[in-house]
Amino acid sequence: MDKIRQHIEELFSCFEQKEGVRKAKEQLLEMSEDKYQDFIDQGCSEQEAGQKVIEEFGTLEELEEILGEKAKKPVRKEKPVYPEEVMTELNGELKAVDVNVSRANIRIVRGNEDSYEISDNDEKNPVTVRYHQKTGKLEIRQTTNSFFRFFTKTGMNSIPTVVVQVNGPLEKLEIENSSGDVSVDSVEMEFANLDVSAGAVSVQYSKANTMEIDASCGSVRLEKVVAKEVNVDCSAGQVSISNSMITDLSVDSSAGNVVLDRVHGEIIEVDTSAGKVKLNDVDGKKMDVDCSAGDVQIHGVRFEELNVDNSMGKVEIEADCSYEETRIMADVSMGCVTVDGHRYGDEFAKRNGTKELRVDCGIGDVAVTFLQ
Amino acid sequence: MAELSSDVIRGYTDTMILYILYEKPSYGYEIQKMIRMITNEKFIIKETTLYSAFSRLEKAGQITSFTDMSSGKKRTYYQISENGKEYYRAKCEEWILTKEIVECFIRGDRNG
Repeated sequence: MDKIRQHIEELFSCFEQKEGVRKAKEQLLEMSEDKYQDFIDQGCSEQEAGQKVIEEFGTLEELEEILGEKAKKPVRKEKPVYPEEVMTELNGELKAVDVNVSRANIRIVRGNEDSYEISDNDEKNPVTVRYHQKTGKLEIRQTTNSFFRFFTKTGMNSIPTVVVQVNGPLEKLEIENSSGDVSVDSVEMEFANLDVSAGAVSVQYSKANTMEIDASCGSVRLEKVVAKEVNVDCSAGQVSISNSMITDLSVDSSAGNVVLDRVHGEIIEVDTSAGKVKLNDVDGKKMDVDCSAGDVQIHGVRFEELNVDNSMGKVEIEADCSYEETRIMADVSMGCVTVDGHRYGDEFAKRNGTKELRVDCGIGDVAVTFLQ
Repeated sequence: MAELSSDVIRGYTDTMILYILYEKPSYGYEIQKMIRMITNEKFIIKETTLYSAFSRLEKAGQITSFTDMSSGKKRTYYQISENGKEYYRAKCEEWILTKEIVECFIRGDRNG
């Protein structure tokens, strides 16, 4: 509690000690004391409680605003150590980027040298960067943000943006971001793990061996990506993948549409709980589409094996092969199966062919057409 | 997640405080906590914002303050005045009208 008092006294010492100022100080002290006690009652240590109260207490600028007076002298402020809006070149090779931030936009781009830049850094909750020359790892950190800073004045500040320029290929790219967008542009990497709680993820013109993308709420967009294995897990938000070559692709979406446009792969799995699935010009050996509620639209698909499972919603498949070469098993609980324009009731089976198409639909019509 | 625009809500911090004081006199931290609780942690008001609202309301004669020592700790309590109750009702009406007007321009199918 002494620390809190000291902090408040220090802030107020910048103002002329008039009646109004004194009263404000008393009141704010009183509230802070109550808050401190409440944190203690909730099981915080004295140090934790003190720190929290100070953290959440307003800034000098806010005091100026409520007191309607300018502060006499700038309060001692140890400038946090972080580079501001200057490209900092690394004195070594960049091999890995490890980001763990609470509220920042992160951009990893290809550049002529390995360097980084921070703009609009949050003074209260700054992004800091450390480069380990020995391992070639760049660590970008930001302390955990208290939830309600989103709603308070300081939280309205512009969000820091970190740009990392990468010259050569990366061994590892790990990003964990609670809120803010993540984008990767023209980067080659062995392994990438992008974990974003609230914000959009976009990867373009990039190459990876393995890529894991986990987005809780926010869209995921992959464009012109070449990868061996990509796993996308999206809780709420649209997933769109276009013009990409991914050998083993798995997309899992809880709520939100999934769109694959001009994707070439071997194993393609799409699983969505609520939301439409749209595949356009997709190429794969073994493909699985599992949709709980929402329509499935597949146009121009090439496959050796295609399984579509839809609980509620229409299924439309336009296969880029011939009727003759395809084994077909279509089963609908409520609805009708149509193959190449002929209606067949709720079940259709054709038992010979080198390619295999299975459709299982709960409620909704199934329409299959062949392009060849 | 949508962020809250401070401009709109700022016009209604007084209303929140008066709503709480309409029930019974209360003190700073209790009011702060109540606002947090009532809004289900969606809105958290800062001490500084709260204090500036108190002094504004007091100056306008909408609330009065008194010191209470009964809890063993000196506390400044605030109490709503008749003037404040009137102001609260006026703000409620204003909000209903504001809401009606803005609602005309909100279309559910466009926000996502």
